[in-house]
Amino acid sequence: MRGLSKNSMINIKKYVWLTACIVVITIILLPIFWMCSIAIRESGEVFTIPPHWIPEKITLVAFKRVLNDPVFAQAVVNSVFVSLSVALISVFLSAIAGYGLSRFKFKGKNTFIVYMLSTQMIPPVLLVLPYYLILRKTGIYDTYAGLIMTYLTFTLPFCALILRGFFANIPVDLDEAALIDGCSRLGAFFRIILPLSLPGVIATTLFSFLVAWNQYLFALVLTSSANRRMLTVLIGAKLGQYNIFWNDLMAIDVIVCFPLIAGFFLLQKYFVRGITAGAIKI
Amino acid sequence: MKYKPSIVGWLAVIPLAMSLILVTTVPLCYVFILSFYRYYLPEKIQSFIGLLNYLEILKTREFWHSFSVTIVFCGCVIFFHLALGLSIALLLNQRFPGLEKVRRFFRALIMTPWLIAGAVAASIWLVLFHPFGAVNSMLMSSHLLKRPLIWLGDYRLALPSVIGLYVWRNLPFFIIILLATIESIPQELYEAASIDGASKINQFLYITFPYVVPTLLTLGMIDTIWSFIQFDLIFLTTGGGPAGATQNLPLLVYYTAFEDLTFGKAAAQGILTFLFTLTFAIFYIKLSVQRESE
Repeated sequence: MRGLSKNSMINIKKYVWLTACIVVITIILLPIFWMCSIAIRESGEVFTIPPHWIPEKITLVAFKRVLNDPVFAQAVVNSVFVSLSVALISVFLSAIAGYGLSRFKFKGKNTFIVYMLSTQMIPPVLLVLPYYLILRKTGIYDTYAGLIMTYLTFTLPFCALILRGFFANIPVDLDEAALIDGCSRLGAFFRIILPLSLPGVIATTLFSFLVAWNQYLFALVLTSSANRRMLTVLIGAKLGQYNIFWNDLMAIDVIVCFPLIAGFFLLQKYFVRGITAGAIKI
Repeated sequence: MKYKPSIVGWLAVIPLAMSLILVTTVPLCYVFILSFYRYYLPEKIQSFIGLLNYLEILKTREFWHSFSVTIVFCGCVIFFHLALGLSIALLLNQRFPGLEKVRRFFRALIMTPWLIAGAVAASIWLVLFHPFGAVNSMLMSSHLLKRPLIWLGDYRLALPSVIGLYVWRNLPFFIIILLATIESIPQELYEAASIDGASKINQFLYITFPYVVPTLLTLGMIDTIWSFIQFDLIFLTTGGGPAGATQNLPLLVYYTAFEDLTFGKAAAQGILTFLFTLTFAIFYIKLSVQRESE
């Protein structure tokens, strides 16, 4: 140690830390890198010994094939419509409820929070049995409405708790000032509280969009026709085929997950805050 | 118009409460009642048979096999999530002057596996662990393996493979939560400790570790519940096979309902699964409510 000054010790530590981080992150991201790498190579190059991390010939034919496939286009439309509806409905209902939970003391409030938490412990596979039977009986099996309704199971409690966390950070004085100025409660909520917590609300919307977008089991069981097939079910169906076209499949994967990853990066700060402060009480 | 705050509070909550009751409590009651009936879907007849479904299930080897698969899956997953999550969180908590932006960038990058859909994660795993896939190819070209291993099709390797997949996919969540906890530890504690001459290891043992224990507990319980009800990753990679090696309870419920079409029996199996998660859920909720009132 004697030959080293304190400064160069810090420098060495810095490089050790950087190397360690890069190694860990490389291992964690390798499967995702592999997905992208297969999507842009030719089918003859998928399975080689040793693996070609960077394809010898880069080509976008897989993306072209996927984007020209009407089945895929229909699945995108389905997934976007259902996820967007779920996100908007759940954020609307949860914003009102979250405001109530963050601002007022009322009897049964804690019981209600416990109730919301406990609905998250029900195995989805248990809920899907009655959904299947009820939706078949009522004739909303294999419809958007059926999917949207059942998806709310996952998103409502989560969104309400996250949003309550965001609203709680806004001082109550602001509500009171608005009320004194003649705003109604609802007006105060829409004009003051909602705009102030807008980034949080957008992050929550994106989050419930993500949950709906990624949902597989309900989409599998509660739809049957090709017109109502969600993207995740499409991927699942392709995995079950005897001959899997890996390039096309990975191209679909890339298209399915990259828009959301990009959205997450933009709103990263609010996501982390929402998860740690609101939804899960650590 | 002035209402009592308590009434406004309730009014705000009611739309959500009603929707939630409609989509969770009502179906749950329905499926609970169904578990006391013999209900074979093609027959359209339901006959009340009391506890017979439950008694029958508890006697079958299949149920207990699935139960043990679920427990092994849960146990391994929790261990790796907490151990790796804490180590990586500690690594990402190191700060160096001038590298704060790099650190934040790493923290964001590490979230990616958690954001992708289960179906996407499963398809990546299938191509990675394909008999001719990258993992085998890497092991063979470095002469660690002579013949390709059939990771997801071998009775002994299938469960470890899906455990690996689930650990990988959910690890970011654990890293982020643990990192947030470690970041919230007051810096003065460390300053005081280093003035008193405490080593880095002692600082970890006497400051950091006690601080993260409650978080580890909560995360352990959440993970128990999540891994207990895990469905899509296993269903899409191994489908419960080979020979039931990875068939956990949710998969058993699914097959009993949608392949055997015996909905009454599936309902009873599902309720039993729910009872297991409920035991952990009660502890978790008690903890949350306690912290809520603090």
